[in-house]
Amino acid sequence: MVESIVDQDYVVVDIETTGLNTKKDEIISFASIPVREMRLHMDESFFTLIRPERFKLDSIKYHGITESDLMSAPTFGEVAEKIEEIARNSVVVGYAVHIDVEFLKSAFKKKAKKKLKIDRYLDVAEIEYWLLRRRGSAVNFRLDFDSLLKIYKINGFCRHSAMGDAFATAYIFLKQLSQLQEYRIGLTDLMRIGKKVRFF
Amino acid sequence: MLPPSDYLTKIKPFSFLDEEQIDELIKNMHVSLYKTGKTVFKKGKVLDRIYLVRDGELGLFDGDDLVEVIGNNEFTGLASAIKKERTEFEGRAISDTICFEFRARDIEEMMSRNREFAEFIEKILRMRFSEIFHFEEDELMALFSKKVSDVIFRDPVTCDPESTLGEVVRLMRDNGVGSVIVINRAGNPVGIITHTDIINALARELPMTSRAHDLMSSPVVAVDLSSSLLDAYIKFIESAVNHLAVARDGKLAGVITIKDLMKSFEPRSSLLNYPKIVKKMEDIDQLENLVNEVMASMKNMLRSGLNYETISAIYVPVFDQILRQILKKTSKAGTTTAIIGDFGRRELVIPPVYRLLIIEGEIDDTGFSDYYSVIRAEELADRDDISDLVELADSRYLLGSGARYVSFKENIGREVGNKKEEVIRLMKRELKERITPDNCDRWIERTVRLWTVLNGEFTSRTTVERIKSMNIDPEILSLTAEVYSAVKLIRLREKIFDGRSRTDSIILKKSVGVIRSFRNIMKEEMRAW
Repeated sequence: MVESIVDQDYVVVDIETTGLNTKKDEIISFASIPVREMRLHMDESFFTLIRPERFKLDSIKYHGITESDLMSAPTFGEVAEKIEEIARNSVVVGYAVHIDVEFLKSAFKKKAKKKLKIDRYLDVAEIEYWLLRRRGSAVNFRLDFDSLLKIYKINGFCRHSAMGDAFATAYIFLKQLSQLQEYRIGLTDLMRIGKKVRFF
Repeated sequence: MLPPSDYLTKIKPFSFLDEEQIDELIKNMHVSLYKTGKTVFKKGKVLDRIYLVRDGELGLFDGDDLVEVIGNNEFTGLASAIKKERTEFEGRAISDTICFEFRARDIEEMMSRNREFAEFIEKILRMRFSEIFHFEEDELMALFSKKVSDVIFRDPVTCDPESTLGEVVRLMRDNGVGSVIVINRAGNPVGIITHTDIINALARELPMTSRAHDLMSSPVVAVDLSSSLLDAYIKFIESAVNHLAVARDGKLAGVITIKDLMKSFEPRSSLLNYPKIVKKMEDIDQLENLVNEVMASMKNMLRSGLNYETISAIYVPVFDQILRQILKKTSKAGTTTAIIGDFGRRELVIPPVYRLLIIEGEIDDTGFSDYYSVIRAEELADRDDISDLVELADSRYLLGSGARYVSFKENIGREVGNKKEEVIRLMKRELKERITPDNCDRWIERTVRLWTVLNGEFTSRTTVERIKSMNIDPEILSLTAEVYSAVKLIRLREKIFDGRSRTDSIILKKSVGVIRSFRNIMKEEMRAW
């Protein structure tokens, strides 16, 4: 028997970091929105800024987060428990989500001195590749986040903030879930589709 | 700033909220995807959220009947969520639909904090549509509500019926006026002598000793000093004159001329010219062009926030006049004709197409027959259809023998009175009709006509007058009248501006709800019959 993808609890996650190096750079904000029974629960969404140990000015400019915002923010150690609770029992969903998961795991190890267990996560770009192929479309373009926004006709959702991107991602994911349901995809298949490694 | 606030700030009434307030709404929002066919909310529930359709279509169903469709960027559930009423319909996704769902509590909270937001929602809830239309200029409205007393300054120049032509001419010259009012000994205006009358007198080579009562036009068309400029405007159009006597308690108080009015109305006074233009037009083609011109002049009126009744009161006399001018050329001597249908009730429809009833005589085919359709009284008698007969309640006299018309109408009234059972059956059938945004105004027109006929009245009145004369819950009556006017205005706007605005669509949908409650009350009332 195939477990229904609608009954599974998901949480869409987006982080902003000081850079792209998962070893050296730090998380400076975290946003999450739970998705249950085909519904985004903004009332249970969570957002926090996180005070990094070292400040890197370049990316700070990019995110629109200022140094003084961060000065008063909690440290990763202070929010780790909450993040762990959010991720527990849910499938984590994001765009290029493996990077976010890497960052989170690394931060847990270094700053919370414990291991974060996230073994089930889904990438909306991977799901979109699968959907496009399933519909017989040759995917010969880069499925970056902007392309996804275009495909799903999303605007006015405040990009470039962790919460804005999380919301857009969650919205995309909701529509993807609806399509996957029509293809009668079960949870096991979905986990494979959303994680599949491509060779091109 | 929370997502998706940029999106919400573009949608009424969220556009009235500031960033912080929008964020508060979003904080507790749900975003739900409903697969096609899935129930969003059930009938008979008090909702704790309102639903904004972000993408897709939400159908409101009464059993298996689709009552209305809520499309992109429209919302539903307000009445239930805010007024705590039970939902009238079941909400079901017609296609895969994403809704932004806001907590009723949060909306109420915003209403208590943001006046504009609250007013917009209250308007929708109370369906005070006419106010929603007032977004644009209401300067014309302000003008129309001015009083005649605001624009007349001079005392009237008068003479008595025995004054001579020579005296009248001197009065005009000495006072620099274009008209002299003839008053009797009691001070009541009995006639008016204008430049035109003087020229006519001279052309007829009348002696300078001729008496005023032989020169004057009478009776004098008069307005009351306290009337609005709108009343004066309509009088000018209806009677095609240049001067109106202004009376206070029946006594002459002044004169208002078309020029006085034009000064106030420039540049919107063009309608005032039409009656005289129409009178001079001989050619049917010219009249056809004039009809188009009159329609074009409606744009400003429709933007002005005037209600449907007022716009009808302004335009129906203009179109009537054009019709009379056409029939002058095409009807044979001894023809008696009445107007039935919308124009019979003095209700404006666009394009203007008159329905004429020929009681006796004949009208030729003209090149401009788009303007009216003709039915003969005998044909109606042959058809012997009760709904045809009831429709004749809307008829009003147009030309020919007045006495012939009156006796015709009295006969029909009696006949319908004798067929009360059939009328009741017709009414009961109407009450079962499905009411939609497309037929709701027509449905009201038919049922309130039936209602007044059943109550023994067989005279032509506007639908709103009929609604207001009904003897049921006044609150639902005034709401129904308002909704009816709003729908009729939308019909005009659709034709004149070639399309429907989003607000219009919302209003149409809401109207259907009100009309349904009106129907339910009618159904109750009809049980007694």
